[in-house]
Amino acid sequence: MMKTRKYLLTLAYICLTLLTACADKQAATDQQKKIDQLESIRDLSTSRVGVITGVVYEEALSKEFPDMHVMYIDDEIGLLQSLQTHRCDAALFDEHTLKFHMQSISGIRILKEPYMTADVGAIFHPESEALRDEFNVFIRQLKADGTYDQLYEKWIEHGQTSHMSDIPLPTVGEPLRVATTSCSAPLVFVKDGKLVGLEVEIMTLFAQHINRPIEWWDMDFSGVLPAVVSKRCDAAVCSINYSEERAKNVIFSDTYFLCSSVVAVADDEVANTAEETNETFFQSLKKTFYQNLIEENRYLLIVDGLKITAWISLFSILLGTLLAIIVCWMSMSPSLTLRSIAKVYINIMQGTPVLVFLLLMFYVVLAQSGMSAVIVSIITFSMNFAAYASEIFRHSIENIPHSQTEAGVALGFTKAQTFIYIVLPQALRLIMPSYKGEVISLVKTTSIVGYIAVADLTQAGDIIRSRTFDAFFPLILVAVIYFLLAWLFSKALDIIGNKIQEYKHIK
Amino acid sequence: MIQVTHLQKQYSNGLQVLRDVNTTIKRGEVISIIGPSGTGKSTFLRCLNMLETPTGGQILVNGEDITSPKTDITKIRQKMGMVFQSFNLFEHLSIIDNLCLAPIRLLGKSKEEAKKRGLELLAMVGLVEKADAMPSQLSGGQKQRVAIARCLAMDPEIILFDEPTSALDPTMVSEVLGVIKTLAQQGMTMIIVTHEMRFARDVSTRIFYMDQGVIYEDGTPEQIFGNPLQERTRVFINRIRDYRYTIHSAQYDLYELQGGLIGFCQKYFLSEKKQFNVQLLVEEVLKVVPLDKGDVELALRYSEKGEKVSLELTMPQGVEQVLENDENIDDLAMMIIQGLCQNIEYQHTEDTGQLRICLTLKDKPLKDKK
Repeated sequence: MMKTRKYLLTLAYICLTLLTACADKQAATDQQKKIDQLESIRDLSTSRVGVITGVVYEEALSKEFPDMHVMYIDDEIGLLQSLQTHRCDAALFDEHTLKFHMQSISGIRILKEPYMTADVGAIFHPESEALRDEFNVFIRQLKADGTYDQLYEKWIEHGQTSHMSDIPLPTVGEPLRVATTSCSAPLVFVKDGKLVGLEVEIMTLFAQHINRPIEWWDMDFSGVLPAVVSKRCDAAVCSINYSEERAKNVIFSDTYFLCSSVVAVADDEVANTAEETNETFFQSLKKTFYQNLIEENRYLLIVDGLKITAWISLFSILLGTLLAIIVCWMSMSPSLTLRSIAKVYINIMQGTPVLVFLLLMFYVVLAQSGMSAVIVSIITFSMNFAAYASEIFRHSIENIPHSQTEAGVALGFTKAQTFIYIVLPQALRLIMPSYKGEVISLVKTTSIVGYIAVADLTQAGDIIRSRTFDAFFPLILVAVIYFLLAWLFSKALDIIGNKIQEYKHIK
Repeated sequence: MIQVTHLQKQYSNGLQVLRDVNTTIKRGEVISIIGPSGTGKSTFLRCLNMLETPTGGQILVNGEDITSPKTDITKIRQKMGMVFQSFNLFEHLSIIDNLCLAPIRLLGKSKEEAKKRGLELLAMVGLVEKADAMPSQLSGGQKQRVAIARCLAMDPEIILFDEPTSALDPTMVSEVLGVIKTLAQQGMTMIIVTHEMRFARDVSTRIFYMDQGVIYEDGTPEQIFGNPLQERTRVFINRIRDYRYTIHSAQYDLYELQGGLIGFCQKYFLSEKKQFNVQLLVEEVLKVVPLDKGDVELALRYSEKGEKVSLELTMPQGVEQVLENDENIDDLAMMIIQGLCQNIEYQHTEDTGQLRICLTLKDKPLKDKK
């Protein structure tokens, strides 16, 4: 009975998400006429305009058009989606990105006049000026011998079909660590499970030039600057626009790419004609499925991401539970010092957002340790998990009346035996439900590791999204996988819990 | 078997509960510890198996000083069962598992062996049927009997009872006391902290009267209850127990009052006949006295010594003679009252203007009359 209900629930969940996906196709088409007459951004001075969070022209835009309602959206796919669903009237895109995705995009029109152009360069830590200068020399060399033009044509004009050239690199020596965001096609993107793109090839050539191996750190854009500032990485490339604000913390190389921002508006006429191809729902689902998973073996990204998420979750739970036992023991110890330490620890952990704590751990506390991001994630989540779990443990143990301990001791059990045979089995029953909730919450929270360059499940979904420009399918897939993973963990806990109870019972 | 010398216990808040306890307990003795609350009866008992750590003195169990840190106290405790006021059954284990846990884990018995012995013991306390039940399915009296069986499963040389019936409904007290009596007849050494005076008198070979942190008087039940040597003991034994109830108006809660009266009678083992008489007397008296002039204080008193029951009413200001010389009162009620009572006293309190009526119940009322 319970099982059937669970399956039904799962099914309902999937149906619901699919329905939401279809609903937006019905979006309104009132403003069609107006849109046809738009020429430049000046015609949109009172409209809702979507931009990507953290772009350099943010301030300029709101100064120039004070009446414009600027909407900040995290990534290009989101921006495109907002445009297609009329959450905003227009959106500012990088021209090369839009061109790259042109075949996957329907229902938008690019205005003739671009909004502005910005210089793209690589960034380095202020102390690595020598490296930066070397890079500048190298870029000049590339431009001089025509290599740059070849690369430009290869990636910017034919990015979808191009492949990286074979660039042999040394295998030993200190690697050149480069932070990046793989959602910056065609400058940096993932193809056949590998990082490719204009900037990737330039950087790899540079690594060959200075005779060092290269190490890519693919992370959320918000993490890229901190990675360089904290010296986790030597350099960063991902269509980074030059701005004075940024130049205060890092140093820029010479510009090697000019990025122009164009204004895109929704064009339902185009959208309608595009959709009138006689595709049935299943055909289009099949196509989506193929694009997102089969093409370029993209399912491997999901599999690898799932592995990472599962490992981080599993080890965080194990290590976190161990730590929780220690913290719980401390918080129940007769020593005031131990109790205070435990209390402060728990308060700090519970009072800090995990994401902030993760970034702190990665960029500050463990920055010099050379630990991999996965290890840092496991440590962070363990510590966070321990704070919550130890409180669950303590409350449950304290809930067992002291008289139970007394009865055990009076029968001749030692304190430890009493705890194991009498208090713990009773406490476990109280612990299990909340502990399970905490485990599930942990599995879901691991989705933030993308911020520190861990290619987890969420990140895999984002990478696919950035390639296919399909907003829904990867998201739904990732959501379903998280759901199943959490369900698996909680099922496993049920089994372990039952085994323990059986073992404790004397039959 | 147990020798206690100069035992002291002071709590960390400075309260000195045990001042100087000295005694020797021999095998086969059944000792009841009685005395007012807060005089260290339970603390003394809990010191005997080191659930409380004494702050001074010595306890020798079979010649071994258990207060010394070198002693393996767990081994001593295995031979020294304890029954708690709140039963303390292991809530996560079935009844039979409650009995088997310690023998298997501590005595190394096989499961079959432990279970066989467990069922024997459950049969002894009359609960074989409940072997597979969980503690939460049992009544208080049943739980306490299981707790006793759990002690016995360790084959103890002595059992300490810490107010074994205090947490029970009056109706369940006797089933537990019955089991303890059976154990006494079988020659089990027992120390029982109790408030059940009659039980203490019936079952014990020796009584400790504890007061002011010492064993104030130590003697046979006949001596302690019949002719205590110490003044304090005498006061305690003869002390009057009472049940009080205040009636605010004629619309008082009769059922609450009746329930209280029955509870009180059962607690002190008054015979059913007496119980009936008490209820009847109260009912009739309340028919006769005026209830609309202010609060009427009602007190039912029982003295352990002479087993006398009396009812005392404190009438509010302005009430003069009642029950006597009043033309208006219910004659039948008056007759019943007079039939039930040995004597009726009136007492005027000058300063408050209150009238106190004291009715003492006859030992064998009504029947004699008829």
